[in-house]
Amino acid sequence: MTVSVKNLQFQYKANAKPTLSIPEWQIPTGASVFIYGPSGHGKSTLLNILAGILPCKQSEIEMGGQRLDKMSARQRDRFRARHIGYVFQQFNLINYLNIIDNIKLAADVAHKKVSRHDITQLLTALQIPESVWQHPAAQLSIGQQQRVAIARALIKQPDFLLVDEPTSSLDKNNRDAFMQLLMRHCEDRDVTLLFVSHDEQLQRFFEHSVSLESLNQVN
Amino acid sequence: MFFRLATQSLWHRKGSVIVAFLAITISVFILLAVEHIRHQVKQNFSSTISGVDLIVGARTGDINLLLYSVFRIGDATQNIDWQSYQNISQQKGVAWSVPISLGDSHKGYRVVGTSKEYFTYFKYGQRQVLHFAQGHVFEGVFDVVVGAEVAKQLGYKLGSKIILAHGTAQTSFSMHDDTPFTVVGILSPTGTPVDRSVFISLGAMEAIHLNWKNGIRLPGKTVKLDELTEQYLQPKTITAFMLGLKNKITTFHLQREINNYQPEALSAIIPGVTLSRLWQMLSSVEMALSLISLMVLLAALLGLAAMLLSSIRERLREIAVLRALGMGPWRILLLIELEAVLITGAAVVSAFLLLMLIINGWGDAILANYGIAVSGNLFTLSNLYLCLGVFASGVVIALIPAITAYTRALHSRLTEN
Repeated sequence: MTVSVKNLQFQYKANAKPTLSIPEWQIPTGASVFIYGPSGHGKSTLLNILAGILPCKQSEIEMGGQRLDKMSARQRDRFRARHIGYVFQQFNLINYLNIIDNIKLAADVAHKKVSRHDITQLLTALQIPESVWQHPAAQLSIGQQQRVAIARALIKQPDFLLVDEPTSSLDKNNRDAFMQLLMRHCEDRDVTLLFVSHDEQLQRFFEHSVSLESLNQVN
Repeated sequence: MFFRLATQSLWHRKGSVIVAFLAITISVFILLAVEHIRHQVKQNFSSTISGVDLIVGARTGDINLLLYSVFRIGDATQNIDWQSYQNISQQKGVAWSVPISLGDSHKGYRVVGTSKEYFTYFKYGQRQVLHFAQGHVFEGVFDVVVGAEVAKQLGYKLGSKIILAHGTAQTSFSMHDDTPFTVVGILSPTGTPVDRSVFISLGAMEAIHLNWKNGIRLPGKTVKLDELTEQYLQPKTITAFMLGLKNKITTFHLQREINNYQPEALSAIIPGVTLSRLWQMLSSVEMALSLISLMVLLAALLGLAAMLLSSIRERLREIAVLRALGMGPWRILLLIELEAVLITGAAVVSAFLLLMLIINGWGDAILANYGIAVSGNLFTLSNLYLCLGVFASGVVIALIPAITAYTRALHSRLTEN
């Protein structure tokens, strides 16, 4: 699914200096795109806009043929539930739910029917040991939690996967293993991946990479 | 899954959840218990006397007359003349009359001097007559009939000998020990002051006071039982009397007539009217009780709201995750409400079961110790409304944290900072 942005202008307060200004930008279907740039330059703002959390009415934002800027808040929530997977820097999971329930919850909010088999298959593929499936998320290591977060994002078979610095609290080995798993699963499912980080070293895992500074016309 | 999310969330914070749950359970229990007992007391109260059209005593306040003649509380200021009783009870419209003579006691229980007709005409509750659990009405002069509680508390059986005390104080130093009585009848429990009364005949009332003057026994004199003839024991005064009329319509007419009775200053009251006036006087106490229990409930519900509100702070990240999954702010408001509803609902049900358990388990003990007959039936419409009211208040008060969660969710961002 394509992402296409035209005349994106965003400021947090009216009459304030814009945080983001992107005249035109496109991501082809199934592409994996790496956006890098220092913190505080609008990476997270961009992700929030594309996820439909921050409304951005004056711009043209098309995701998979649907105009995000023309949707109501409720429609954007529903769109996010069905089409967008999201992985945070850390603390992705509901602490008190066990792993299986965390994943079920995502499918449930998206109104997608998912069998237990689908879940266990995905967990196995993401190398989550069966012994922790029934554990509350809080008991898992950070590396495991981040892998469960991918499983949770992928269970609803999203068209887009938005990922925000998921490796920042992992060591180098864990980071590389995580990146390889993520890339493989995105390719397998033909998911359009948008990955933001300040860590330029991660560039090598992606086919496309772009610095936010070159994208953002503010400054 | 939404429901599971709420239950798991509560389980995760079980410490504070249990405290909030207990606070609400206890407050709902208090509320239900107060309302239930209030209801029962009112019912007991209004069923103390029925089937009596007028009560007549010496001129006094109508509530005072009702208190001493029916509830055995307080004393009459004056007696009425036997002749007045005769005159009034022989009027055309009067179907029956029962004299009452008060002033003595037995171990804290009031002694009622009356006629045999008392056991025929006095009614309580839904026009129920008095029943004898054992024995029969007094026949001889020194026969006594005791109420259910008197018999139970003092362990009296048929044939027990008892001695009455002069005056109504709990511990009296002047005893009618020259004239012991024999228990010949024990009444079935009624839940009314009858249970706490000791009944003797009017003649006996006279007999035990033969050698007494101004509350002091005259020394050197003893009652010779063979001297006690019917005529000799004719009372000169009584304390009050009850009237039943042939035609209820004449009640007000006769009441007015008695109030204007010339030879002596008398008061006549209609028991039902005075009962409800007395209850109105007590209703402020009743109101205060209800108010206090409502305040306790409010405090507990606010405690629940505070608990949920402080949990929202800890749950900002959780809210961000739920938002990222595509959950709308309304669903998050509903999630907090659901948690509140689960706690309140569980508390209401527990309080109800607890009260049911206590009433069914200790109902008899409550009746014995406090004289309140509590019925086991809690499934009343008013209790249903009460529970629904608690539930609704819980939902409304939980709006405070729920709306906070809603606004937090609305402004939640998909990032750490």
